[in-house]
Amino acid sequence: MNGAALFWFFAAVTCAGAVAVVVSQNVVRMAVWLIVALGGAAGLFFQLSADFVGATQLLIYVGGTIVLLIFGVMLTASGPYLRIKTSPGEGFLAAGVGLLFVLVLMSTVLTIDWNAGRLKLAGLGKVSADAYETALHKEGLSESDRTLLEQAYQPSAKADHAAEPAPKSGPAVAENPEAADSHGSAPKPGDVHSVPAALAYELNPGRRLTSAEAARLAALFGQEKAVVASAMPAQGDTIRPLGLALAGLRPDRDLNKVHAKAATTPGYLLPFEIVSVHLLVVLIGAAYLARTKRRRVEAS
Amino acid sequence: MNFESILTGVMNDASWGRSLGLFAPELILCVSIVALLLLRLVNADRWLPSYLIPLFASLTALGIAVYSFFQMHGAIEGIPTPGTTQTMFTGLLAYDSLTLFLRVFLLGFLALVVTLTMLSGIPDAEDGPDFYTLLLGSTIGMMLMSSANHLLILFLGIEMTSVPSYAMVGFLKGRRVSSEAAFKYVVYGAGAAGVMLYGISLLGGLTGTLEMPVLASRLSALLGPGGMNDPTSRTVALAAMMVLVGLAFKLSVFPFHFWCPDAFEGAAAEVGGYLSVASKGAAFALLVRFLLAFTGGTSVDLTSLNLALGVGLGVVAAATATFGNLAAYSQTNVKRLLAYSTIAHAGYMLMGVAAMVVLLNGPGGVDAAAKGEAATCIEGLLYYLAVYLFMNLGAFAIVAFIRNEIYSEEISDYAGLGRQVPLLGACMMICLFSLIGLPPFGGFVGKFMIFASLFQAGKIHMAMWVILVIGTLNTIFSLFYYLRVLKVMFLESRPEGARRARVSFMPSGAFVLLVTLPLLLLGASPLVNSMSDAATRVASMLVAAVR
Amino acid sequence: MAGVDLTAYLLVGAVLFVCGIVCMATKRNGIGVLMGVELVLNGANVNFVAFSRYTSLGLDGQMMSLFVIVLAAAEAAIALAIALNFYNNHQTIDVDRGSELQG
Repeated sequence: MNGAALFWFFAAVTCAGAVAVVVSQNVVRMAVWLIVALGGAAGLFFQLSADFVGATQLLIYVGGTIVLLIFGVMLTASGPYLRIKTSPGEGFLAAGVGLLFVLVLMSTVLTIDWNAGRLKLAGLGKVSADAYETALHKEGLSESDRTLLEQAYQPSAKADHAAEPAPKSGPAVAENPEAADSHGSAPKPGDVHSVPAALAYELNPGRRLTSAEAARLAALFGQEKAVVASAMPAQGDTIRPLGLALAGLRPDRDLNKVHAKAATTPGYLLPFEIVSVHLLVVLIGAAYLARTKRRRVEAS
Repeated sequence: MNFESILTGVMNDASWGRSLGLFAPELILCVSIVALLLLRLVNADRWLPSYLIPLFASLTALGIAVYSFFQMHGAIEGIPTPGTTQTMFTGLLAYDSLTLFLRVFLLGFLALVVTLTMLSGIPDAEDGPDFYTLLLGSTIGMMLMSSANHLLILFLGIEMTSVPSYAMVGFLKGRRVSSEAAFKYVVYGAGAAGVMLYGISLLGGLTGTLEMPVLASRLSALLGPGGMNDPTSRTVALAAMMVLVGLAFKLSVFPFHFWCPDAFEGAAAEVGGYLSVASKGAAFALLVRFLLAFTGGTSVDLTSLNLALGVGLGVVAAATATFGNLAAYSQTNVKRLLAYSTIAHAGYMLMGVAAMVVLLNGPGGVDAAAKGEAATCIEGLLYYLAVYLFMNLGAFAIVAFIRNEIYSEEISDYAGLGRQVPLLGACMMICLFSLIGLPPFGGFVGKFMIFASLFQAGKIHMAMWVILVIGTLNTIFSLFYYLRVLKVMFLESRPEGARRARVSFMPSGAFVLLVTLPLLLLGASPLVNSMSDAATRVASMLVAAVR
Repeated sequence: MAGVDLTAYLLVGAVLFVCGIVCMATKRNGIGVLMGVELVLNGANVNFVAFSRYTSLGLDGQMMSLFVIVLAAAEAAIALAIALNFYNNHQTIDVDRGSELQG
């Protein structure tokens, strides 16, 4: 089946469900629409090859939390048909608030060139002229790659670059484990600063990159591992890494360091354990609130 | 790799054992939660008072925390060296001076609150185990908050703190006001947590990491020139604001303060005192950590973003203090008045944090001078927190003891109490004078430190001077409503037929005295120097880690 | 999956978030507000999982969303208990109907 079509189907279901939750006037209907929205979101998780999260979403969220909410609706229903009346003024207010947030998100999250961000984090936001020329004049470079390189990068302004202190992006690159792992391939990220100040190229903000283009660019600079390997694989082999991460081990990051003395990437053993304490506390708290007190003479 | 080999791998990893050792105080609290449950299973709660376990646990954990605090600071002669920050549990938690300071703060406070509830008897014998389970659970959450080094722990800590406190606010479940307060608190609190989580998701996605120490350097790499024209900069600002909304809710800072008076009025005075001090302390520690995670790096764009953030925080702080003080005027209920006073004090403390951000993001960058000045801001904040613990707990404890006698929390019913129970009256006077910030008491020293750091920050951005002026004016405003309570207590006579209050010296009076005495000690005694010295060390170690 | 990129998933997350916010702002039924909170949390979760697939956030994103699911369940449990308690005392679940406490 066509993956894109499947995505749009799940996306449509999720969004329609969410909008219907807002629009419905009846609490029970809201709960049912919420099931639709969260179920659609679970579909999206499967689509993103996060099988385990998708399954958990269905089991715990749709199967547990929503049932809990529906119980709440039933137990607190004061009439057979509980309706929430919304005055037109409130409707306009809600529409205004919604529109405001949509505009804010449209101008921020949804306009970012995320692929350029990935390149920047990999230390390829600004590359030395040497590295750029090497990539551009590599043997057997196809015409489309050359066009991509020429469009994606532009010479960086002289004044801007000269004003920067030398160790500018040095620490950023050094602390980026993916970037640090990738040495051995042609241009090291550190090379950026060994060239004369004016001779550097930076990403062109006017050219939005697709994921494939970003990966291609990284490959052209010899860093495919840095950018591509860190994202989750498309085949969705996530259950074992997730389980190991909950046990405090991160074979997905520290590939050969499972038995090393000190782990370098966060393992999630502590939250996994402490959440159980939290759930115990919550259980006791909810049980206390829900049970009736053996009443003595009530003062108030 | 089968389960056995994974287990062996974990067992053989020495860092886990080390982390568990450093995590001992929290573990003790966890164990005592389980113990409270198991004891009920075997009906041991019939003959064993339920406060014993939390009291014993908090005192033991406090002992360990104090020991490790002095161990960390005793090992270093003179000025602490940078690079002493350690982490626990593969970098999820920070183990540094702030962690230890807040541990001592929270555990000491927990022991005091357990003692208070033991004396005032608000959870009766039947409900005791439930109450203390919630109390211990939310304290663990606060300790996680104050040592968070990872965005997951930030969210987890806030949830672990909030969710039990919703239940604690509604603990008097038969009372209409109590259930209403809890309901409003949980609805707004859950909303704020949701917004915060969305902000965390944006930050994590942008930087590709959830580890807080790496945030600044990654953001420096990401932020391009062009300021707010760059969508990435706008998103970073939006995400930071969303996370700050969640923190502002916990701090009851101005636009997100509305839950605070309702929750405090509906909850028992003991719970109000607990929430007002402990959750503030933890949330301020987390706020400082989060803002420090943004600071550093080398990008000019990040610095200017941070500077704007700092000034914005200052403006919010000034608005919070002003609003809290103005709204406190018309209150007739003591707990509600104290709730608004809590809001105002959150404003003062936030001014110190704002000054820190401004000082660290000045034109000179993060150099030694900026670090030194920023350290004085944190020092002021910590000193203020320490004093605030005693003055607020003292006031709430007095309200609780008086409630047990006259069954009322209305200010008008307090008439003449100052003469009827002189000890409580005098202690109330000390607490309120300290809350105002009058000279011989601890509140003055704390406020002075924060205002001094605001003055320093004004040299970098003029707005901080305006905020300083607003802060000073607020202090004068606040004089009137605090004095009104004292006037009712001391100058009016007890009306005929009013219920007579009898509070014996042992143990209630002694407890109140124990809590208010430190206000004098932290205001005018050699303890001021040693306390501020400790705060300085904590602050300078914390700031030294900023790159 | 031609044409489907990170931004498309973020759009879904944004829709969930905005719907959740509007739901929280308009519904006076307490449980309705809690449903809005669930929508907001799910918006964040869609973001996390999408970032986990497309950026170097990697497994951390999925891990975060798992913890969010668990914490949301815990929060819902307490919120429901408090809501029932409120209903028993007030015979309504309308957030604005609480009259004793005037903010």
